[in-house]
This record gives sequence, structure tokens and C-alpha cells, in this order.
Amino acid sequence: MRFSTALFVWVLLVLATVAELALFRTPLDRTLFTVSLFGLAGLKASMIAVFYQQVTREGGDVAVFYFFTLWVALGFIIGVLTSMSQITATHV
Amino acid sequence: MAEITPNSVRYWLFTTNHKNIGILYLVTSFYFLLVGGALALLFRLQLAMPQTEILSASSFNQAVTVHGLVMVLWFLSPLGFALANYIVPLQIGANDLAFPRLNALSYWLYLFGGILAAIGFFTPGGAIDTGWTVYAPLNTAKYSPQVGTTLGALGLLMLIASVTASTVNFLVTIFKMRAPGMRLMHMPMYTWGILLTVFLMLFAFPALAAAGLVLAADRALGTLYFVSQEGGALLWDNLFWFFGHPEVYIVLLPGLFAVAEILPVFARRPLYGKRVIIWATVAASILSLMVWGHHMFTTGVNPLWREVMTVLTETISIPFGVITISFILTLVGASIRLKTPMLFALASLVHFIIGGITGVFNSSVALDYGLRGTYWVVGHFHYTLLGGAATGLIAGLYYWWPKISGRMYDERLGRIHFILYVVGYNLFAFSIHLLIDMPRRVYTYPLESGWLLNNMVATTGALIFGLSFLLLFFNLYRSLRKGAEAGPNPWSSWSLEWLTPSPPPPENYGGQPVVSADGVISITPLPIDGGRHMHVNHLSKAPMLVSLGTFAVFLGLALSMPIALVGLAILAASLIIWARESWSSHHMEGLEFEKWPFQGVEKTRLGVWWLIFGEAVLFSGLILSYLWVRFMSASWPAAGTAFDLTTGAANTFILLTSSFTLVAALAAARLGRHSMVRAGLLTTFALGLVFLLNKALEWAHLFAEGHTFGSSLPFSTFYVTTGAHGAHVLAGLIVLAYLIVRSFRKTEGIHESVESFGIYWHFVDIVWVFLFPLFYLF
Amino acid sequence: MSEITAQWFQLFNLYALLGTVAGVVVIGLLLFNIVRYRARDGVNDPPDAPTPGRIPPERGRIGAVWILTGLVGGILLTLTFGTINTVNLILTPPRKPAMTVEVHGFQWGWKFIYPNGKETVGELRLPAGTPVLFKVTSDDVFHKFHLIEFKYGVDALPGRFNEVWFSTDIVGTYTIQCFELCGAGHSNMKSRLVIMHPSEFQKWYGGG
Repeated sequence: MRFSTALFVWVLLVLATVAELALFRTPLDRTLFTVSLFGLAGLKASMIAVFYQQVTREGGDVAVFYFFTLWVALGFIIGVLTSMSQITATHV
Repeated sequence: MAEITPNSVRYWLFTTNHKNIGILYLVTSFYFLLVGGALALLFRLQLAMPQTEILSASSFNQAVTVHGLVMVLWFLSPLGFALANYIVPLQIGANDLAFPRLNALSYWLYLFGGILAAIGFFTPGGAIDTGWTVYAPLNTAKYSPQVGTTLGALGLLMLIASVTASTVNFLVTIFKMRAPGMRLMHMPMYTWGILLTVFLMLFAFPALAAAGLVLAADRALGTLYFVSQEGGALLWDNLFWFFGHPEVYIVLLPGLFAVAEILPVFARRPLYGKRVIIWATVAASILSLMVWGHHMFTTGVNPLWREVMTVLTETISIPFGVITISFILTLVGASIRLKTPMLFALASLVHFIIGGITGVFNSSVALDYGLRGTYWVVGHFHYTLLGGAATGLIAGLYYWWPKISGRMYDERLGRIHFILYVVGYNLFAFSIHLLIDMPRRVYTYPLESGWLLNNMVATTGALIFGLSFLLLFFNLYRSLRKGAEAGPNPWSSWSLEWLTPSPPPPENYGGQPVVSADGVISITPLPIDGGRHMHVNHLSKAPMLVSLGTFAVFLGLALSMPIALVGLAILAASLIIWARESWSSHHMEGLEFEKWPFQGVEKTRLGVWWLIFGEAVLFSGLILSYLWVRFMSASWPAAGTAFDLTTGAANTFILLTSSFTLVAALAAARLGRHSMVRAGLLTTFALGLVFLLNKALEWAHLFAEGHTFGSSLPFSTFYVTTGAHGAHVLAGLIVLAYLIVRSFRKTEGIHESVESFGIYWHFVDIVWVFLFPLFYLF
Repeated sequence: MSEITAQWFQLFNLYALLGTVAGVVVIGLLLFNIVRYRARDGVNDPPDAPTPGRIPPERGRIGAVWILTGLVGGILLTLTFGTINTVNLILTPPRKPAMTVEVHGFQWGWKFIYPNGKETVGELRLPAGTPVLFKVTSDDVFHKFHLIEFKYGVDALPGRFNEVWFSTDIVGTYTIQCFELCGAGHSNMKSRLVIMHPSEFQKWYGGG
């Protein structure tokens, strides 16, 4: 990875963070806000993974498990949270 | 290190050779079997008749809890890993695991973790008594105030650290250290079993770690996760069983694959459908990550979610059915020799079939309404884990004993052991199964219940079964003294470990194992080279001392602070010893390995990848805990009100920049510009430090305003989640400090080290990338 | 005994039947093979026996897998239908419950709160032949409200109400017990379930 590329990615990461802050200040529909906010976070994470961790250069074998891990991590969150849909805490 | 006599105490304390570690695990796991077994016999005696008072209700609860924890976590898996440690490197043609000191660390953490949990018995209030499943809110300080519960939780955390290290170690070893020509499909079944087991461990144990960390925070710091109704019982249920279900396959697979290894040898025919068995296990393992809901059918969760869980659970029967039939088909056209390993392997299969069938009952939501919390469930898991998995591992022990000890056990004693074992076990387990009306974990029952007969038979069976182990120990002990010499290959098996003497020499093979294109394994002598030798008995003080230090820290945290400080000192000193040891990372010099998969990914770097994959699931568990309590709460502070946005944003920019400076250091390393490398590393360190200081100030500010750990859920979740992240930053800084010191002394190999470290550091950055919006903006 | 219990046992017996048949067939096959293919004196090893230092050849036909998958899948499908039917019965009473009783588990006993405000501890009285809806909760830790003779129950969790309905025609005294470990008093966390003639129940229950 060339120094200039790393610098460029850093600039993008900073800008994306600024965008998140700007998003926060903008009056938006809640769903749109959430999707955009975490979309930006996901974008930043992907950039770090690809350009800094260089996951794509490691080869397909590492990438396969990277993706699998993502699925497990996301599946864990989604799987657990969906179990409680239609349940609300009824305070005794 | 000065000369240490082989087999002296210091030799065993500081050894890192996989064969020695295997023996340590073997002896220790059987010690824990005796502990767990003695507890079982105690409460079986209590339950043999109605209304007895051999054990009080409280003692009974402690006995069943510790029995469960010890058997699952300190006996079964460690026995599987005892054999794995000894046999896997031999089977693939390596002369040790990828990271021998880490391996030793795994063992000592396991031992000290068990001791820590057991100390609970001697503290006021006794040991942990919540059941091995440690449900909430019973596990909180309010309902289980005794320090024994905290000690149990801390011992568990040490065990999790131990298995995480093992997981990384075996994953790298099996992928990167096979003999040239040994493709993955060529590997013997036991190694395959261990490979699939450690994959599951990688993804399952972090969920338990998340649950354990949160519980420790609730008990020690007063956070509100399990105490509150928003979090409480269901949050623990989900976290624990996301771990718990894969855990039972983690415990099962080594035994099952030991059976797969043994059947063909004694049937004198190849395994039927080896490829299919492996793929079926892969499928079952992936499915096992998706079925934890079947432990929560009666909790009131979403009905559709329950149906999905039922279907997914039932689907697991299909791959296991395929595996079972493949085993049976292996015997067709065979010439079966019923030696002791084969007898136990076949018994394991029969028990596993029974256990698997009763499991299908448990997958039904409707039947679960009636069976949950009854002895039917106890019967099911004893058939699969004790009848199936443990029996398979005992078969493995008898099978590999000649290789490990160099002696043959007595075949007739083995047969007698087998008969007593099977009769005793089934008397116990079948009677238990018939008690479908009896609740679990009750210390006594009334005569009118009609449960006396089955309980009495079960206890009798348990006694016979327990006593049969004495025969095993006697047989093995006697073989060491008087057993016939085993020779390298008493069973006429095919795999690599049988091509070397029994027991193997320290370096395993006097040469380079190679597999030819047409499947012939041979050992080519290594070129004689004056200076080279294999450091295969490398001794190191560090792993044992690190574990001792950790033990003292945890003991002190639970009981008395001065002990914790002593522990911290030992820990710090031992880490420095570790860093300074002149340890050759090329201790496998001279050996070559199969290149695929993970071609071009150096061992340490691959290890770091596996580590962060596991840590990703840990953070997933912590984040989901936060989201869970948030969505269950009627109200939550609006974003930007509770936590200072400027601090959070500043920390985000700082951490992002630290990733950049680290990448810059890496680029400089590639160009050989060492002063730039040092500058980059130092800047990264400084930025990391600023991040932590910023966070400390933030916390101090919040504390000053009265927002402590237990103020409310928004603050509990903030402190625990960002705290766990901060701990990862701190750990990174410690490693970075070591790298910086090294970069000043020795620049050779700095590029690889910075690259490996970078993978970890950037991961920590990625986690923050999500924590920032989650806590500050959302 | 009660509709749910009757259907539960029907389902259990279905599983038991299919399970026993499957178990007997599979274990039978295994035992048959062990006996049939035992090593005999003077008979050589099969030609593909393990040879030291040789990777064993592959063996087996993929067809077996598909047949097996179909078979097991078929059995599971049958069982799933039965399960879904029974679950529906447990979730939805065929007749509207005449009364809702709140059940509170606590360390270590059961408290019952009737619609008219009447409270009992340790004994639950109900009229025969009347569907009742239980709303089950816990006042402290995780318990399970379980009706032993009727073979079902539901978890009692703090902060939530879990619902399950119940009805029986048979007068008598039955056992309620906690089926989730909840501390030192867990084994004694029982209550009596007394099913009375509707007229007797009315006398005890009083008006409103």
C-alpha cells in the first residue's frame, strides 16, 4: 500500500465521519436517518478492511471467513432481536 | 535456560512440547472427572430414595451446578484436546503446534481457572449453585450474593481465554503445518474433527464471554443488565444459548470423530463416505449456530421465531443421520475385530443414536411444554454427551494409549471395563429417561410421586458406572509397568502417527514427512546440517507464570485487593519474560509444509485474523445486549443528550488517524526506512494513549455528574461496551509498546510484525466506527 | 384429563412410535453388521484394508445420502405437522376462557390472583369444565409454572406475563410445581391445584 493511497483513504474516512455529524444535525425521518447513519459506518468499516487490513490482498481464503464472521455477528444480533418482536416488557 | 532434567517438576511446569501438554491435559481432565463424578455420586445417593437428607437443598444445588460445569468444560472438551494436542501434530506431520508457548498458556489457564471456580466451595455461602446454565436474574448479586458465584464466573473467563488461545493455535496449525502433499481431504478423521470443533469454538465462546463479562460487570460494578426487567432473564437466555447450543457440538465432535477414526481400523475397510461425513458435519455445525431458540420455547418469545427454530433444529437430524448411516455402512463387507477401542466406539454410536432420537422430541415446541425442566432432558443430554461423546473419547484413549505410552493395556481388563461401563451407564441413563414427570434439580421428592424405583435403579447404575473407571485407571497404570511393548503400529492403521516409534521421539519424525501424489506417506531424512537442530523441547517459564498471575488477580478481585496487586505484579513480570525470551519463531526450521489454503499468509498473521474473527462475535454480543435493553425500555435519552458528542467525535478522528499512522509505518517498513517506522509506531501509540485519556476524562466527568455504572441502563451499557472496547485498545497499546522497543533493537522481521499487529489495531478501529454512532448519534 | 394433555400425549406417542421404529431399525442394522461381518479365523483382511503409510481410498456412493435425506426429511415433516397442530391448541383455546387468573411465582411459592381480587397462596381452586387463562409472571427470579399431571406449563419471568390456558373436567387435587431452578427452596416450590364442582367453586369464590 502506497503512502499516498493510505492518506487518501484517511481523508475519505474523515469526510465520512463529518458526514455522519452533519446527518445528525439534519432533520430526517427516523428510518432514513438510521439507514444512512449505519450505511456510512459500514462504508468506513469496509474502507478500513479493504485498504488498511488489506483483506482483499490476503486472498480468497481469508475473505471467505471474513464474510462468514460478518454473517455470524450480524445474524447473532438480528436473530436475538427478532425473538422479542411482538413482545413488550409489561411492568408488573 | 540452565539444564533442566527431563521429568523433573520444573520440566513439567515449563514444557511447551505438544506431547507433554497433551499428557498434562489428560491427567488434569481425569482429575476433574473424579471431582465431577464424585459430586454426581453424592447427589445420586441423595436422590436414590425419597425425603433423604444426605445433602441439604443448598449443598445439592452447588453439587449439581459444579458437576455440570466441571463435566462439560473441565473434563469432556479438555479430554478431547488432550488427545488433540498429542495426536494432531503427529497426524499432519508437524513437530509441534504453531505457537507452543501459547499452547502451554492454554493449559495453565485451564488448570488455574478450574481451581479458581472450585475455591468457591470453601468460601462462605459455598460454590456457585445456580445450575450450570447460570440463569438470570438468579445469577445476580441480589439473588446469589455468595462470592462463590463470582469465583465461578471468573474461573469461566479464564477458561474462555484458554480455549480462545487453543482455537487460534489449532486453526493455524492444521491449515499451515501439514506435510507437503497432505491435502485437507487426506487428513485423518480425528484431525478433521478437531478442525471443525475449533471453528465452532471460535464463533461460540465469544458469546459466552460477552455474557460472562456483562455478568461480572453486574456483580462487581453494579451495572443493570441482568438486574433490570428490560434485560434480565431473556437477555441472558439468548446470550448463553447462542453459545450453549454450539457448545454441545463442540463437546460432541471430538468423540464422534474419534469413532470415525477407529471404526475403519478395526473393521479393516475404509470409512464409507468420508467426504460426505465431513460436509455433513460442516452443515450441522453451521446449523448449530442458528438453533439456540429451542432452549427458549416456553419463555414467551415470538411464535413465528419459535417455528423457525423448530424447523432448523429438526434439520440438524439430517446430517447426523447421514453420518450415522455412513458409520454403519462402513461395517459392510468388513472383518471386524472387537478390541476394546472398537467396543467403546460401537457403544458410543449406539448411545449417540438413542440420544439423537430423543433430541428430536426436544425440538418440538409442543412437546417442550411438557418436557422442559424434566429428567427427559437430562436423559437426552447424558445419552449424547456421556453415552456418545465421552464414550467415543474413551475409545480414543484406548486406541492411542499404545502410541502415547509405548505399552499395550490388558485386553481382558478392557473388556470387563466395557461391560461394567455399558451396563452401569444404561441402567442409569435409561431410568432417568423414564422420569418424564420429575422436575430437574430438586434435591428430594415425595414417596407418592412414584419416582422411587427409577431413581434407585439410576443411582445403582451410576455407582457401577463410576466404579468401572477404577478398572480403566488400573489397566492403564499397570500397562506402564508390565504392559507388552506396543511397537509403532499395533493396530495396523494407516495414518502418520503410526509410522513413528511409540512413544514418538521429541521431534516426532526423524525427517520430513511427505505425501506423494498417489497417496503414499513417507518420511524423507533431512539433510544433515551441522548448525541446525529442532528446538522441540523449548522450555518457557512465561505461560505458567502468566496464568498464575491472572489467577491471583481474579482471586484478589473477588476476595481481597492485595492479592490482586501481587497478581498484577506477577502478570507484568511474566509478560516481560515472555517478550524477552529468545524464542525462535522458526523452530520448525528444516520442515516444509503444504501451501494451500491460506497461501502466502504467514502463521502469526493468520493467527491474528482468527483472533479478530472471534472478537467480532464478542462485540456483536455486547452490542446486541445494548440494543436489546434499549428496545425493551419504555424510554431512552435522546441522542446527544447523555454523552458528549465532541468527545466521541474527537475520539473517532483520533482512532482513525492512528490507523493511518500505523499503515504509514507499514509502508515505511516495506521500504526499509526504519526511522519512519519508529516514528509511525510512536505516533500510533501516542494517539492510542490520547484516545484512552480522553475516554478516562469523559468517564470522570460523567461520574462527577452522578452517572455511575448502576445509574440507569443507558449508562450501564455505555460503560460496559465502550469499556470493553477501551480494554482492547489498552491491550493493543501493550503489544505496540513491545513492538516499539523491538523496532529500536532489531529491525529484522519488523514488517511482518507491524502487518500482523495492524490487522488487530484496524479491527479495534472498525469496532469504534460502529460504537460511535450507536452511542453518540443514535 | 384435559384437551391439551390428551393431545400432548398423542403427539408424544407419535414421536415415540416413529423414534422407536427408527431406533430399532438403525441399531438393528448396526448390530446385524457387527455380527455378520465379524473377523473369522483364517480369513484375510478385505483388499482395501488400511495399509500403513497409505491414504485410504474413497468409498461410498452419494446416492445413499439423498435417499436418507428424503427419508429423514419425510419423518420430520410428519412430526412437524403434529407439533404445529398441538402448539396451536396450546396457544388458542377452542372456547373463550371464562376467567383469567394471575399467577405469581416467588421464592418459594405460588400466589394466585382471581378476577374479583381474591388472592390465595399455595392453593389454586378452579371449577371443573371451565377454560381458564393463566397469566404467569415472577416476582423475583426465573421460575416455571408447571402442572405435573397435565404435562405442561409456561415460564414465569420477572417483568413479563406469559399466557397459557387450561381446562379439565375431572374433579380432584393435583400438583403445581416449579420446574426451573430458582434457589435453595426450589424443591419445595409447590402448590395444590384443586378442581371443584362448579357449584362448590361458586360457593367458595363468592360473588363478583
